[in-house]
Amino acid sequence: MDDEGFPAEWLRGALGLSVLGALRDGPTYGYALSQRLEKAGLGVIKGGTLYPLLARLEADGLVTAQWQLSESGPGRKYFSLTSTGRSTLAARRNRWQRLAAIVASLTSDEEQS
Amino acid sequence: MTDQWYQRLTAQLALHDVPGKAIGEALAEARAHCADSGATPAEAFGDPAAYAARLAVARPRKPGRRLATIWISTLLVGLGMLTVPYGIGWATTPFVVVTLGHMLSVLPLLGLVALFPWLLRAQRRSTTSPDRRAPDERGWWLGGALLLYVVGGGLVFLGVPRWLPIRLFALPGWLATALGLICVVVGWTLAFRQRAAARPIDPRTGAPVRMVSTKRQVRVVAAAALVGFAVGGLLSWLSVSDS
Repeated sequence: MDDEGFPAEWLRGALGLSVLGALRDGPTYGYALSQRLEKAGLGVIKGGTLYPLLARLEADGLVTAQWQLSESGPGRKYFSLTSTGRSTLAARRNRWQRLAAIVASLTSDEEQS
Repeated sequence: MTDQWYQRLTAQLALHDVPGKAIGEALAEARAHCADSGATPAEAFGDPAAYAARLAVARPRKPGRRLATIWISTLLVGLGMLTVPYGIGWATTPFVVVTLGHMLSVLPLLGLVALFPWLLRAQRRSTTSPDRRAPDERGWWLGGALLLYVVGGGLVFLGVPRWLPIRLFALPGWLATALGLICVVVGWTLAFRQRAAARPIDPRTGAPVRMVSTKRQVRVVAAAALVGFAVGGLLSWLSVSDS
C-alpha cells in the first residue's frame, strides 16, 4: 500500500463490504475490528466512522451484536455475521470483484493509449 | 472534558429522536472503544454533534413521534398556565365568560407551537453544521424574530379580548381552574415521559445511565414552571382587569 492511503470516497464504498469480510471468521468487537482493517491496509478507521456503519449493518440485519461483560473494563460489544450477512457478503464480493476487474481494465487501457 | 463529550453526545442523540436504549448503546460502545484504544472520545469519534448525526442516520427510529409529543405537551401546558390564573381571577364571580376575543387571543400561542418543527430543525442544523463555531447570523435573526413574535403575541393576547367581547360560553371559575390544572398536569406528564423515553439505558445492565445534569434539569423545569405561571398569571390579570 502506498503511504498516501485511499481517497475517502473509495473507502466509503468499500468499508461495508470489508467489515462484513472481516467478520467472516467469527465474532469480534469494534476496536479489534478497526485494528484488523488497519492491518489489512485500509488505514486508520476511526470509531466515528466504524460504529455508525456497524449500526447500519445491524439495522439491515446483516450483523448481530452482543455485549460481553468484563470485570476490569466497561465490557465489549461483539459483532457477528448473520446468515443474511453471509449471503450478502458472498453476493457483494462477486460484484466487487467484477467492478475491480472493470476498473483495472479501463485504467490499464488508458495507460496504453 | 471526557464527561462533557458524553453529555453532549447524549443531548445530541436525543435531539435526533434516538430512543434511550440506543443512546445507552452508543455511550457504552464509545466507552468500550476508548478503554481499548486509550484514545479520548474526541480523538476516536470526533465532534459529538457530528457523530450523533451519523449515528442517527444509521439507526432505525420513529421520526415525528417526539415532535408530536412536544406539540401536544407545550400546547396543554401553555393553555393550562393561562387558564388557571384566569379561573382563580374569576373565582369571585360565579362564571368565567369566554368570548371570541379570548379564543382568538391564544392563536399566537398555537402558532408558536406550530413553529416548533421549524425551530428544532434550525437548532439541529446549527449544531451539526461544520462551521458552527463561527458567529451564527441565522441565530440572531431567529432570536430577533422570536422576540418580536412574543411581544406581538402578548399584545394580541391583551388586545383582542377587548376588541371582540362576543360571548361564546361561560364556565364556573372552579371548573376553569380545574381544567387548567388538568391541562398543566397532563402536559408536564407527557413532557416528562418523553424525557424518560430518551433517558440512556446501559445495554450491559439494563439500568438507566446516571446523568450528571439531571439535577440541573429538574431545577430548570421547576424554574420554567414558576416563570410560566407568573407570566400566565400576569397576562390573565391584565386581560381580566381590562375587560
